[in-house]
Amino acid sequence: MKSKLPTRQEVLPVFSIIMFFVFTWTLYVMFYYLPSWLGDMYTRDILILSTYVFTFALLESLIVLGGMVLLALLLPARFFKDKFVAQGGFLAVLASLAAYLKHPKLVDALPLRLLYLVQIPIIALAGTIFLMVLLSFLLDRFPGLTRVVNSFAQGMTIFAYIYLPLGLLSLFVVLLRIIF
Amino acid sequence: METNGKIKLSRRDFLKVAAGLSLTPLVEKISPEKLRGRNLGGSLPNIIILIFDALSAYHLSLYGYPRNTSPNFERFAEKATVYHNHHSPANFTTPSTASLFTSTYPWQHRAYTLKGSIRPHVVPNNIFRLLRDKYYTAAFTQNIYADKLLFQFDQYLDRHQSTDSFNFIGNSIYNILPSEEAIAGFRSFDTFLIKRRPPRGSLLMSILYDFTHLLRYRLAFRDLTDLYPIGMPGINSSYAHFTLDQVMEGVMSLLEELPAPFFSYIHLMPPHSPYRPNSHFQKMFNDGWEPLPKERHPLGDGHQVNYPGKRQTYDEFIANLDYEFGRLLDYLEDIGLLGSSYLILTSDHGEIFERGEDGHGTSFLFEPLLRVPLVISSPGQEARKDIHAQTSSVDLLPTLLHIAGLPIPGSVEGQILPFQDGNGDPERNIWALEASSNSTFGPMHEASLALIKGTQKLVYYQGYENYKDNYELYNLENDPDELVDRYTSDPRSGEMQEILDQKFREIIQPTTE
Repeated sequence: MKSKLPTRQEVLPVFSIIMFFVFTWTLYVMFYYLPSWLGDMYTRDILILSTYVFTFALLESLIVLGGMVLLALLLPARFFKDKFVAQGGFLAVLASLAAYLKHPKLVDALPLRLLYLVQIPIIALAGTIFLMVLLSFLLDRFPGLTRVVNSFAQGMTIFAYIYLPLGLLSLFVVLLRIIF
Repeated sequence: METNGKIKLSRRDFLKVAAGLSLTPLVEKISPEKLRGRNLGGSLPNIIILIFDALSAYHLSLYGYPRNTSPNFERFAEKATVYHNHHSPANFTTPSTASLFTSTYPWQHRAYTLKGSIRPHVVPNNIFRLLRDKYYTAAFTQNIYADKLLFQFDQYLDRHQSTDSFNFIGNSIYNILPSEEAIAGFRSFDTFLIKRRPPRGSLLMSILYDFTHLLRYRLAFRDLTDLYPIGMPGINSSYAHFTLDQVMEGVMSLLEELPAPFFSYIHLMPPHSPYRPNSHFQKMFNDGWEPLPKERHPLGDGHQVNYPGKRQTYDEFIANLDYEFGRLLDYLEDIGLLGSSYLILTSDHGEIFERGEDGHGTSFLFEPLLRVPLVISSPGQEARKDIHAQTSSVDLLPTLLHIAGLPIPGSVEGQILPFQDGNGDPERNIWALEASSNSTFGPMHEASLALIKGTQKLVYYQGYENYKDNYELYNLENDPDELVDRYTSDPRSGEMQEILDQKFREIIQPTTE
């Protein structure tokens, strides 16, 4: 079982990519609402709200990462676990972009109407499987591509050093408030 | 109840068993320390405030509406006091409910916005704390914005029933948190991260949440499509759905469990949109009737001027609600609660279907939005009384304190209602304010303020881009439909404008409290 699990060095870049998309989206929407919050909430209340929000973002990221790890356990190693950074990172990017398309405030500004097709579950699932198979083929075929993808994923770990402490601190505050 | 030899629990029995088995973390919040030692005893009558959200007095046959929307309200009124000119201080839930709780107008409690909170210095003088010395206090609301206000008073509530208690499908997340964290949970989860309308703070979980709720609804609803052909009643800003009969049975169970003497605040969503009457009431008002047509108001920006179809469905929803109220009335009478309680039927605000707007939460302060029903039955009352004095929702708190023999704090802006040892002041100023686009703390830059004095109503629209600094005056006695603006022709307009302008200068100031 342990051999089927990705290593810590493999998990961190994928987790970083997930956190990047989740936290960045959350921050974007927070800034969207901030003027109205400032209009009827005290600063202290906004900060408390933020701790709950970042705690949720951390948990959301962990749930998505958990889904990736589960895929690594279930799918053939050659297809997913052996290329965990590339496949996991790619899947995280794909899922996040598809999720962005479900949040119309952003996409109204984008001339990408055709991409709304991903909102149809069967198309989303089929498209995801196709792209992952294609990526797996390309990674096997072009080793240089693997180096590029891994390098990109490693670069994304900077976001873990920003968002992870933010999430953990928020979780600590929330637990303190709930327990005490 | 037995069916084919098997015992089958009715929904009411299930609710009783659930409460008894203490599925309470999911059903209600009860603070254990508040249940101990609350042996009030005494012979005071109970007080039940029953609020139907967005119920306009204009749409009730009780008040002369041409459609027979409220035969059971009329039956109730036969042994009750009917207030014909009762007004809400605001045109949507948060400020109007806050005013009822604190007997202060919106510029005092400053809960102007949908998710607004009552200012801390106003919170202590609330209806629950002030009655608590003599009453067991209980509250239930299906409206999550009213529930958020209730959490500001949670320490004064002996029983705070969860908002999802009687819903067919519930989905509030903040209720799983401890009471002290519920407001933070409400603002973060239910109105930011995972909420029905975009933009939402959660990128991925919100989508999963949509999907699971859609699935739950489809599974739960498939047996009810005949009964609710246009969909199950729900709560607009969430995925919660309910059936009227189930909610009413839940209320019956709740009231039966409360120890006397109790004060209970019950706030139900119907007839708030979505208007979804069941099949027995659908199309019952397909009569082609429409009220007097009104022109589009400069601030009306809906795609139609009048909304006869929505008005019809709303009326049918009221009729459905009225039927369920009739069942509640019979039940309260059967168990003896009606004779031992003050039952107060009212609403937080009204609804409008004309002048280019539908619903509420507009800039308007016309009578369909502000004039709400108020019918109060007193223990032992055998005859109907009609009161035509101008009254306001801020009057309920001082009236109840008077009934209980408790002192009325100086912060209270309402008066004791006529009939309860009050004669009503014909020159009294009744106010209503709409200021939802303003900061709670800053100066008011865009607002509508209404002054009702006797039969005259002056409305001031300030700061709106298309309608800056305009006054409108109506004679509510001769012109109840507010068709003729008499601001430039009526000699009283100057006197009223002076009073209104002075009030406006006072209330637009910023606050740091």
